[in-house]
Amino acid sequence: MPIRNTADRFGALAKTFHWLTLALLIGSLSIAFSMAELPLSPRKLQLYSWHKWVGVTIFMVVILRLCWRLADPPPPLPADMSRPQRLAAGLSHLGLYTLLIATPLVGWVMSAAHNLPVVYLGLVPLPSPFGVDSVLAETLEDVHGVMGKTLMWLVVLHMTAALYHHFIRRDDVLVRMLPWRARRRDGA
Amino acid sequence: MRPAIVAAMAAALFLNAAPAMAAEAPAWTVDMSQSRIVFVGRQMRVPTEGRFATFTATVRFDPSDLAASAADIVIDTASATSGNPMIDRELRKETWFAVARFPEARFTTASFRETGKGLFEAAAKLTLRGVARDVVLPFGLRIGDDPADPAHLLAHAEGEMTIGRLAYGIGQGEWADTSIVADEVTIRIVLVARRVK
Repeated sequence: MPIRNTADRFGALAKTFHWLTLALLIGSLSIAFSMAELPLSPRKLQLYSWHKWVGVTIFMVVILRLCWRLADPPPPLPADMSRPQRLAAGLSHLGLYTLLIATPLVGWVMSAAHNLPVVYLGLVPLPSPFGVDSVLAETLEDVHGVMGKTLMWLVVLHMTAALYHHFIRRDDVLVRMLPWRARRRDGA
Repeated sequence: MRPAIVAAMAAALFLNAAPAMAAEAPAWTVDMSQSRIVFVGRQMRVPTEGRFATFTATVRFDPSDLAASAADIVIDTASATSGNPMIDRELRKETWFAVARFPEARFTTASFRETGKGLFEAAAKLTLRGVARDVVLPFGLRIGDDPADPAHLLAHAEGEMTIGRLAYGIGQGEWADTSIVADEVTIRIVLVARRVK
């Protein structure tokens, strides 16, 4: 499998970024949902830290991924897609990337405002941009929660769209991102 | 009573009182707006800083007469604040500071030692959650004219020490697990005080 994208298929690096992002996001959301309702306990603090480490990792992976995307643009969408469909695809990808970047950023500021700053992997302390502020922290907590849930539903939408392409439109859009080698199915 | 007798009694009182006064170093008035007692705890290697908003400090100190110097700090344990309401609520509970049973913590010096220019060590008794332990607080001290009031001296003392919270029974039950919440807690004491020259 070539590293770079081809005209009709994603390359190895773009695929790695894609599936790594999904794995990290599933991890982050699972931890988030299991820690949120816990009373304050060592377990909760441990999950907080793990969630933050995964979030920082997502942020870095997505920044690298966007750099690579600039260097290696994705293969074009099928030529027979309508303008509204192209617009919907563009907006949903924009939303995914935006939230993948912005949700960890809000989480970082919120953590510092909560006086529970991020120490990445327990090794690298991140700066506290606005200091400790419980009012700011509460607000950002709400925003962070809404962003995380929106991101989750955007992923569901993204998956639904991929299945729509595969099973209804019967085009190549899902297959070209699959991690394994799959035969083209557009009849070409 | 004849004035001469009164004068003689006053003189006797003064003469008796004089050695006792000389045995105590001068008293300082602590400026609460600039003084603070800070604690830094760590969980998952994440530092969280808090402070005790309410405390009183009684300080008699003379760098040239350390034997006559003494400091006594009484801390309102319920005034512990980190800026995180979830943490602050937890700290007041029975498994942490148990503020209902131990509303006060106390730091009382036993002796002072000069360790360098402007550097001292206070050997003290620290009482937390009803447990008293000997601690040593190294601190730096600057004494100079008070820029706001030439009739006063201004002192700035700042020291930091690390204690083990479990030795005082702070953080019990599941919180005793030091793999998440470290045993070591850093305590920083900053006192700004004035006295008449």
